[in-house]
Amino acid sequence: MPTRLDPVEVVTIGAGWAGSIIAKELTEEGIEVVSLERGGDRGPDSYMKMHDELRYDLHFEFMQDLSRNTYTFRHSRDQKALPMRKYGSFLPGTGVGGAGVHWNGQTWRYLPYDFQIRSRTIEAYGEEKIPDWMPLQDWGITYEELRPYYWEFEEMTGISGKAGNLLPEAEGRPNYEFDKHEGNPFEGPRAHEFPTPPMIQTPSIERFMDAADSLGLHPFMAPSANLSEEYTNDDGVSRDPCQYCGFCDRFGCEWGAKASPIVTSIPVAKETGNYEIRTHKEVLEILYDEANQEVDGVRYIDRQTGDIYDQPAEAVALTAFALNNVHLLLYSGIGEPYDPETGEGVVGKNYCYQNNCGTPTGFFDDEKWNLYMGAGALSGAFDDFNGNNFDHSDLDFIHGGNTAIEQVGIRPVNHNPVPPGTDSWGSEFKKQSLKYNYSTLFFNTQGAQLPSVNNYLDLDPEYTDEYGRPLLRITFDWTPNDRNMAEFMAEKNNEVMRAMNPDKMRPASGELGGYNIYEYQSTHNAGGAIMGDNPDESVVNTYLQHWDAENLFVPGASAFPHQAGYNPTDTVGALSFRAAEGMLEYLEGGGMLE
Amino acid sequence: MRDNDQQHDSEQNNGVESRWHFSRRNLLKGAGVAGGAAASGVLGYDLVAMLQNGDGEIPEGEPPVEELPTAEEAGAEAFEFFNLDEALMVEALAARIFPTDELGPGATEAGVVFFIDHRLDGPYGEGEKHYMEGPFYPERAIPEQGWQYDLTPKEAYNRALTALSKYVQQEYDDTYVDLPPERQDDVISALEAGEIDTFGTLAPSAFFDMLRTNVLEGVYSDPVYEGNRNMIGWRLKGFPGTPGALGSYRGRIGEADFIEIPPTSLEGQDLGPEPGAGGPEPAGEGVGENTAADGPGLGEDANETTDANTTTTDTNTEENE
Repeated sequence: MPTRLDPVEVVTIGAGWAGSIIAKELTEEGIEVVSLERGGDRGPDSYMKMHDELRYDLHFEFMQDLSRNTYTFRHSRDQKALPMRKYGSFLPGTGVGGAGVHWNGQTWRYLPYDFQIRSRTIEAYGEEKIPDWMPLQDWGITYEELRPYYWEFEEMTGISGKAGNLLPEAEGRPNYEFDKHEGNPFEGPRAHEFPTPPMIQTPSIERFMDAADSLGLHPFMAPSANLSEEYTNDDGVSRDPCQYCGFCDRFGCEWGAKASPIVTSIPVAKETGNYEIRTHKEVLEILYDEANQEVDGVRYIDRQTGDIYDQPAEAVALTAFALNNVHLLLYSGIGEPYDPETGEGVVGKNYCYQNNCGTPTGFFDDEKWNLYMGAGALSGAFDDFNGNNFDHSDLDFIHGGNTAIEQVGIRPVNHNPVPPGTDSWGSEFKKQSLKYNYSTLFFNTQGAQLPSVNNYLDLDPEYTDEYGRPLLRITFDWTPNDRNMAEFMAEKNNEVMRAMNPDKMRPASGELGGYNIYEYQSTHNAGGAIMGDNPDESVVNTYLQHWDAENLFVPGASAFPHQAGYNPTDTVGALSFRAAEGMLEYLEGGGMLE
Repeated sequence: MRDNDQQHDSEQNNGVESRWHFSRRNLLKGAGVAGGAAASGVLGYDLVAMLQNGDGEIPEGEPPVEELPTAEEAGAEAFEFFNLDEALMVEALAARIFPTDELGPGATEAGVVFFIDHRLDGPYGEGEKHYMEGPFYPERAIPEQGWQYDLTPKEAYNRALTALSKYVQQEYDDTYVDLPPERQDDVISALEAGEIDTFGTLAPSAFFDMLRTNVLEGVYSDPVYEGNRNMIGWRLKGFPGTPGALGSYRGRIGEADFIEIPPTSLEGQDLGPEPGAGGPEPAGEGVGENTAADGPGLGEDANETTDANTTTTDTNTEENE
């Protein structure tokens, strides 16, 4: 029998971005918060041996241990779902700071179009533009309503960028002179310039941006959570600038320059004395009191002793990464599971991913760049083919994506570019991969991935995790919208690559095969516990409060009704600040929030 | 008591007093940053040529060239997982996948066979972090569902090397190591294309992918893992290896010309606690000296050390866990 502990005011399940932001906002108001984190503790001082491609990049030191818990996968309902036994098209993090430790730091606000995607699409192109298999939904909140929360996340982390659409009354930053860069003209209106200027524009990024310029596109330096200069945020946390060391994605930052919960939200929460992180504790189940439409607390296991505890709480924040959020909701029976046969139910509905497409590769015979240098969000981009920034009247898809070149730092084991027709081994492979190692440039479009009635999450009937719980089953494949978008982006991006005039080129193919689970693509898993203003079509309201459990809040990418053409973290951060505001209001007055 | 002058710099952004400073600059002197002290450093081809034809001497300050035995010279006792036949076969396969040729040394000189042996004898070989619960349906899986075999990497190598020897025996009435290089390449092509019928349920191409990945790991990962001996792989590619804890390219990343930096390895660097061991340091009061926030640019002349005069170390509240 689990040991029942004394109640606490708030429990968060996981101490990543969402959990730690909720903890900071609530503990600063005197509320006692406990974060239960299944992984261990870590911080910048334990990253001194970080520059090790084999351990961190190729063998996933910071990632969820699949032998303990993984996901099953199939393309469609008539197939047998099988476990993802090895990594993997996506990489859930584990440990204090969650994926916020090993992320790249690419930090984007979603477009105003994204939040009202259904109504704006119908307004622009008529209802028939949305195919009947695509359950497109407005988010229930507008860009303007979310803007202040976006700013809270960007100010806390010190995002480096140049605004391209400042409101007249926007606040600049003191002593902030600015050189040639333009911002993104398509971005949602900003009430603030970015906290710090853009990162250094490197020669390889310049080559891409000049090419885009020559075609009349609007390139700009992408907003980055790798600090371009030293920065002190309003909480009084100071961090050093990024050193462009090339070990960023899948690595921790020993400089603290890459924003993570460990060097932004967690120290502030701890300073209040109201915050406790219990590491090596995995939540097995959220204790649901269906009659009273609320949760009693959580049941968790101490992974070091095997003891099981019930931790009662006045409110619970489910902040365990999009997929794990949905897994716990389904396993704990909170909300009606989505049934693809009838279309009834909501938990597991609108699972979305990321359609990275249109990747041309250019080989330059006598040019070489210092590509071993780099940073996770060191990137040049254009947004001309994102959202509804371009006319779709006679196109066979909607939305689009941000197109960007990155210089994240290439590492030797995993980066052996060879021109088309070269073997994958032997002397010719060795010769070409050495010749083109620093003479190859490529970029792609991060395509928005829109929902389908056939793409969803539920519990697997056969495979279980180490505690005997059924694994989360992912039923997913690319949709016609993805395939048609990929064709369009290939053509556009091949044009940009040609303008970069490589000596040899492998054009983007535009063909999307079947979605595969074994090749890394993106960890932008979204949906499954989506937000909205209608309980019949969503799991949480616009404060991320669960319609069927008023003291349970579920901020995270699981709340996205679709995945946009950008990285999700800025929006996860914004929704977490909003959810924290909702939790404060709930803890005072109770009841469902409007 | 906080010295207000020092404090001034870090308040430049918005007048907020800095309560935490995750500054590292004041740790720079201690951390082993620039491994290869010699400014010139022996770069890609010079050491490569030296190893190949054994002439020329090593510039002062460069680590001595480690003479590496072949599998045969090392003998069975040098291997923890492979028996000698298996080691010789893996060495021969690796030598065709990443050959020694006019461009320079290959998998053999990098010590790939020792690297793979060492990996298979450890957690990687046991299939650490892989989901190995049944049932297993490799024959029902679609390719997009990835690895579905009930085999850890160790078991996959055992199965594959036995099957491969049987195939070579049937096809060429010989052993793999004794085949001429062209025939050895034909066997690898057949492996990659899946045209070998002695593997049972394990698809030959699945083993080829594993082997090829392990060979590249053996050539290019940090020498602390027993491969990439003398940093051969990094020298061939002009890859600087680890910029070292707190290393920095900030000062040079904007430059147009390619910069060759002698490679440094994690080996032999005193780099502080094991990852994941310590939490963030406890919070202090003083703010580190705010010199220009460049680390000792490894791209710069390696023996010019940045003079970061240190004050108190800055840290934040000690973890109470």
